[in-house]
Parts: sequence; C-alpha cells; structure tokens
Amino acid sequence: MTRKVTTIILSLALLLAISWGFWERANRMSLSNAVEAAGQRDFYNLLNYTEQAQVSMGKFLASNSPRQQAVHLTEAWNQAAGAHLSLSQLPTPDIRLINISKFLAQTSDYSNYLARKLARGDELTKQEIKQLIRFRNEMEGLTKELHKIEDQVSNKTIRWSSYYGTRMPQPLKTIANLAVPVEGKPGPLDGFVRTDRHLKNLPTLNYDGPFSDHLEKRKPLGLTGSNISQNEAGRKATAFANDASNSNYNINSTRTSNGRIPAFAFNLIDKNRANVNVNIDVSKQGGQIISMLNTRPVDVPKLDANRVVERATSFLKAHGFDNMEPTYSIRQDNNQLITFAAKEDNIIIYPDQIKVKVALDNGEITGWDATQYYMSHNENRKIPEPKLTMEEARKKLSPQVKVDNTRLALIPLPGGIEKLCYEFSTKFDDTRYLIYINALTGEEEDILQIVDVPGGQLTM
Amino acid sequence: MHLYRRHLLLPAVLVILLICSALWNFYNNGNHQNIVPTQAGAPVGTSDEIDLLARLIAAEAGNEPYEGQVAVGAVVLNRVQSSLFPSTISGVIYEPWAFESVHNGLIWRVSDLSGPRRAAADALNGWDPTYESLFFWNPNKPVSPWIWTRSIVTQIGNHVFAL
Repeated sequence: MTRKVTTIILSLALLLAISWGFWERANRMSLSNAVEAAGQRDFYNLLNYTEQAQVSMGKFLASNSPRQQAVHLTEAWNQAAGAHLSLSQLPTPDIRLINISKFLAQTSDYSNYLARKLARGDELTKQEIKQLIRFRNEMEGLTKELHKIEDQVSNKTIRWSSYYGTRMPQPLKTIANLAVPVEGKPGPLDGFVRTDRHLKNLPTLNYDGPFSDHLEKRKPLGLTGSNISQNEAGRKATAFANDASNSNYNINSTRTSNGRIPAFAFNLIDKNRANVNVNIDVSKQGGQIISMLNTRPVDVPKLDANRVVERATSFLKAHGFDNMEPTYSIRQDNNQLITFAAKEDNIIIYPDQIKVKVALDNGEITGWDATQYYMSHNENRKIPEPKLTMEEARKKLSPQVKVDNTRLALIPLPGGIEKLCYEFSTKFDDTRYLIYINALTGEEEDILQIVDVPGGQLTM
Repeated sequence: MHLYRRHLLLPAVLVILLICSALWNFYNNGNHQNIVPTQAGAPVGTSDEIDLLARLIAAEAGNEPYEGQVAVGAVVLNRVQSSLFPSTISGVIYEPWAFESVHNGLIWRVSDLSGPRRAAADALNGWDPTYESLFFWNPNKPVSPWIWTRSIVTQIGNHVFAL
C-alpha cells in the first residue's frame, strides 16, 4: 500500500518536474530568439547604414552644386552615425572593434564639418576632398567585408545569441545542449577583426571637430616652471585643504597619475573631524592644485546663495585668482557648485574655467576643479581687437529674440579653437539663449540654451 | 524489490536536482523583486542620467573609495565623448560586454545608491580623477590581455585606469 502511494507521489513529482523543464525550455527559447533578433537588427542596420553612407559620399563627390553637396554630406553624416551606433550595440564578445568604431565616428563627424563649411558658403580645399575620397573608399571596403559576414549570418555560421550563455563545465554543457539544442556554435568573427586591423592604419586626421586626432595629444598650456618633489606637492596639498576647510589635515596616502596632466594625488584625513577626507591632485609641473574633492555628505543648508558666491570668490583671490567671474551655478546635494571664468580687459575667457563647490551648511570649500583652466590658460594668448561694434553685431541677431545683456567673450569651439565673440543673453518666447556673434566676422558661432534646474542653471 | 529500487533511483535523483534548482531560482527571483531596472532613452534629463550612472557606479565600484566611484563615473562620461564608443550614457552602459555588472545583472540588484549618487553628480559636473581614461579593470582578476596594451594613467583603490 505504502509502496503504491510512494509510486504515485514520485510519478506526480516527476511529471511536475518534466513540465517545469519544458516551461523553462520555452522561456529560454523565447529569450534566445529575442537576443538573436536584436543582434540581427543591429547587424543589418550596420550593413545598410554603411552602404548608404558610402553612396551619399559618392553622390557628394559627383555633385557640382554646393547646396546639393551639403545635402549629401548631411546624409552621410547621419548614416555613418547610425552605423557607429549599430556597431557598438552588436554583440561581439572578446574583441573590441575600436578602429572600425573610430573610423565611423570620424567619417560622420568629418562629413558634418564639411557640410557646415558649405553651409557657411566656404569652399572646400583639395585636401578636404581628398580626405573624403579616402573615407569613401574605406567605407566601400567595409561594406564589402560586411557583405561577406552577411553570408555567414544568413547561413547561420554566426548566431548572435550563441555568444551569450553561462560558463559551465563541458559535461553539464553537453547535457544542457541535449535538452535545448543551441543553434550554431559561437562562430569566428575574423571578418570584423581583419577590417579593424586594416583601419588601424588610417593616417591621422586633423580638422576643427571633436574627433580630430590632434586633440589626443593636447598638453596643459597653463602649466609652467619645473617639476616639484612629492614632499613639496604634499605640503601644498595640505595647506590648500587646511584653508578650504579651516581645519587641519594629515596625508593618508599618495599615488601618482600619468594622464593628460601628470600629478601627485593625495588622500588627506581631517585631524579634527572623524570620517572626513579630501582627495587633492597637485600637478608635477609647477605644483598647481588641479582638483580637490571633499567626500563628506553635507547637512541641511544654512547659507544663502550670495554669501556662497562671496566665499568662493574670496577663496579664489586668496589662491592667486584675482579676476574670476562667476558664470553658472547649480545646487547639488546641499552644495552650491559655481563655475568661474577668467576675465581679462572686460572679456570673459570661458576656456579658462575653474569650478568651486561650497558646502551650504558651513561654507566649507568642498570641491575645486581647475583642470580646464590649466589645459587652456595661456600667458601668451593673443586676443584680437573686435572689428565689429556691439551695435553692428546686434544687427546679426534674429529679429525674433529679445536681448537682455551683452558682453565680449572668448569661447571654446570644437577642435580646441577659441573665438572672440559678442555674447548676447536673449529670450525667445520664454526660453533663454546665449547667442555668440563673432566679433571679427559677424558670423553666428554658437548658441546655448539656458535650462533652469533647482538651485541654478545649466546650458545645453 | 531490488529491481524496483533501481527503477526509482534515476527519477528520484532527477526530481531532487530539479527541485533544488527550482528553489534556487525562486530564491534569486525573490531577491530581485523590489528592484526595477531603469531604462534611459534619449533624450534624458539630468536626474535620470544621475540615476543610471549611480546604478552603474554602485554595481562596478560599490566597495571602492569615494574617489574610485567618481573615477568609474568619469570613465563612462569620457566614453560618451570618445569616438571609440557610443555617444549617450545609456549607449555606453548597455554596450554588450562593456561592463561585467550589466552582463551579470548586478546593476539591477544594487540597492544602496546614496554614495554612488553623489559620486555620479561629481562626475557629471566634470570631476575626473582619471584624466580622460576610457578603460578600467581590476588587476587581480582575469581580464583580456588586450587591455594591458592601453596606457595606464593611475590606480585608484582596486581599479587600474587607462587611456
């Protein structure tokens, strides 16, 4: 009797287990299909966009009308950007296709740069056309390679879903594969690897855009003098932190940093307060304070915004920055973050920027970031004389906007360029914009939208 | 009798195995229940960006010192600016195999976001202890040998940062 009962119970359990197994199997299949579909979509998007970009660049080269040329370049810009995005989402494990990625981003950005140039009415140089021909030919090569890979994708030698899976010992894997067969093995991606290796050898590209190769070699222009020792850097860091917090700090640890600005990085501990520590980077050359971050959480605000700006300004003055103008300000986690820009002869020098963070509970300086200042500040910088008067520049503005304020400013543009402009604070409907008119040519160089956020403003 | 037992052995083992794995599954699911994955589409507002970035920082560098958390956030933002990576925060974070914690789902299980949120805000405000680094890894864990060909900027906590 008991034997019968046991048999029934065990059979039922087995039945249950089997149905559960089938249910899990169905789940796995549907997830695997979704992953496969996503991979296929990204791959075919990549293929299509690459092909289209190549065609658009070809049309540009065949066209003789600047207006049409700008249209084709704009298309190429979008298509190459689409290809870049699709490539980045493609599941290609263990290989990083950074050269293909860079090639697509540069092609896209360069097309955009040339289209802008045409839109301004400028002519393209022979060199620029030659560069685009080069890009078009490489794009053609990439398309051909992708077509070869497409053969593998369509005959299922490459299955995107097969690259996902939990690592498990081979015997278990064999059993799992018997239960739920995986379609296709994780196939080789040689085509991608080959193309990536080939594109690594593209010559460097210099132009006025964010992906220009010359930007990777930028050096800090604002650092002068000889290298200082670690001890001296430590003394500077401690003095700075003591002044920022009105407290006393001890060095806890030191490391070196070999980035764009070679530096000693210190971690300091407050002698008077428990669990308060500060990170400070001091440049090796010249021993300047590049950045500081106090990691303490800040309590309920007690100070008002004006007091905070005064505190930040006097702190800057005490550290040798006499002519700094507060530009943007934003409240974050009970800190007020104020961005200062240098001011010379009533011109705002936006590239020479220092961010100061002030704690709203006790006015302590909790943050300092002068990286941009030391990257771009240049003692020998020549600021040209404006050729247009403010009134002449104002006439270049759209008649729709209402002007609140005007001043001269040196602004940074993509590609590490600086231009002298009239900055107009304007309003269109209820949105505020900063419009920059080149003080030498009258060209509209840039527009920033001001976005109000709690406790401050941002520009976009 | 003898024969009967042998017949039972295989199914019994199977049943026990399956029940164990079912329990394990339920236990795991129970752990995730109250955490909802964030989804950041474009365009994202500032607070959404902080949230997504904070989640990645918590998952990748939850046990790192504060500076190491800011550094991981900065690497994500440096990637957004780089031609080698997608140009949005969500694009960079959800790039396949880019981050271990996205691959294994840890990013959706993290719960303490207060520290990482402050670190994310500092990174978004421009603090970058890594000076434009694009990669970071733990030198004590197995990584692809390729990564060591990058030029190393510094080590913060348990992470090496490189261009």
